[in-house]
Amino acid sequence: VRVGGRKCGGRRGLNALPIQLSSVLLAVRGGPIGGGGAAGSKFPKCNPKDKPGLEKKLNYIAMAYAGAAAAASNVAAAAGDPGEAGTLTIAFLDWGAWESGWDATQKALSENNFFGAQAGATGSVACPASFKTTNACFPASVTFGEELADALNGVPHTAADPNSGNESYENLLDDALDNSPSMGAAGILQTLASSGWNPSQTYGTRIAGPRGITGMSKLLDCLETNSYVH
Amino acid sequence: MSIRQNLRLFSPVVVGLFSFVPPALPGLLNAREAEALVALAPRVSAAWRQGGCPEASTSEFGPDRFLVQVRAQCQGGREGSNLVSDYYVSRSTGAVTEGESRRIDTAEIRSARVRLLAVSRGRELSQQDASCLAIVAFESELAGADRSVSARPLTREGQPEMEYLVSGFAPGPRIWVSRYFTVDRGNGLVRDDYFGTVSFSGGLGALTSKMLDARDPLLLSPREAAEIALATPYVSAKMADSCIALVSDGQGFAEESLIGISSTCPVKAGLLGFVAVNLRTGAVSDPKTHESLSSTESDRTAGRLLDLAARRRLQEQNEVEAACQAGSGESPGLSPGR
Repeated sequence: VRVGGRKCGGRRGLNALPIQLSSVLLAVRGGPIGGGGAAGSKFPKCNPKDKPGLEKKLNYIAMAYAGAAAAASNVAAAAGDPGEAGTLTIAFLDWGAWESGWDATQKALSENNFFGAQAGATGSVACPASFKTTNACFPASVTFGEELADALNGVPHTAADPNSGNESYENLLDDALDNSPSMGAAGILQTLASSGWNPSQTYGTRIAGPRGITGMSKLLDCLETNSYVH
Repeated sequence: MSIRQNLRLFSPVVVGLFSFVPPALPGLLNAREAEALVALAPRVSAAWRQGGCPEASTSEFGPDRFLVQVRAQCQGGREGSNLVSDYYVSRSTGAVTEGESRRIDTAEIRSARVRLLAVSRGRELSQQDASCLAIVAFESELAGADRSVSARPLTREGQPEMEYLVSGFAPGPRIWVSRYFTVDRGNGLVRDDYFGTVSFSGGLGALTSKMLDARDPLLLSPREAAEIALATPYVSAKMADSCIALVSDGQGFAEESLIGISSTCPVKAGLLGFVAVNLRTGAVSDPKTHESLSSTESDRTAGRLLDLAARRRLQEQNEVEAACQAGSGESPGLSPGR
């Protein structure tokens, strides 16, 4: 199920810039110069003031939620702990938000790359020759859930750990959850990083720690409560 | 050459770039300035020192913030992500956070912030430029008004938006024509307040562009940066292989552009490496080792292109002066308003 549209993120132009008008003489007021044209939030109950940054986050969650939840259910079931699905869902949403800049950066949009996968990743195609990137490029038809599944099914090989058993990220995550079932979203993402996804020792904490992406649960709750996602 | 000029020359890039290069606004940092601050974050400095070729990808995130994603382009041998980190930069205060809440505040960043905010505050159009734009907009929309056109400011000096009552005699028996215009001194947009819409015309657009360009640093365009790189023995030797092409999109970090050396042949398609070009000086270096790759020939090419860019800039400034003198020659309306 694809909830929300990747390409209908409600990108606003050069409007919403705080500009002061001081004269009261004129007949017509157009608001900030170059403004107008915004149709309002797609999620008015979660973004009543139509804040552009918040709208990007809500667009991202609405687009990614179904795929994140489906992958989370699979991983939690495989780990024998269905109760972890909620934490995994948040972890996967946090992961994509961090790597793709809430699916709002030009790089993420042009590459359709949610998790920063490198060239040659499963499901990817050759990037156009004019792209100066080592990242993978995915066809626009590939969804968040499909990319997440491909990333989790990938088999890491690093200099430190050649992974001779060819365990996938998902298997490595299942093992980690077996050993430490309450590792939280930061622990889940650090497990993926340490398995080979990213060299940083603080990857998980920076993304999903106390000073990382903190509002995901609240935003998701709002979207669910108001039936913007199902 | 400025970013705006880069966009005009590199039309295939325009669509991609225009969405994330917002106008320079008075007191608000632009994307390059935000990147200059992020370049000083310890994690990014470390990636640079280690030869990771950090590259910034900057997007507007709300009206007052940039999201700057930093990726280590030379961090090879890994299937997963090369993301160094995500940073948010307040365009009004220059505050830098890693993620949305972890404040990064070093002495270097504090010092750079003061300097860059001063630059951004000095970028707004002058009162004279703003009134000139209002007059040109009036002349564009009400063709036929004669040279007695004047612009009377209705806003106090120093406001980010200036309103003008622009008036002039139309040809014919004693017809006095007037209209209100508002000029945004940050981005140069002019609103026709009769309709409440932005004024567009070829002449107005060209004049605005020249005025704004004059406030940007003189930087090389992506094409010029590639031309300089081509003049180095390091790159020219690689170009002997007919499969090799350069990819220059102006992106890198602040005023240093990373140029990709790419193979387009199916057997070994993909990025093979990078060279870095300083867009202010034209110096070429290896982004992994930071050793200079410049040569006599590349220095000569850089000097020629920078000289050309400086001449173009001077010519544009002269054209702006000429247009504004012609447009407001008899203007009595430059006295302060209410």
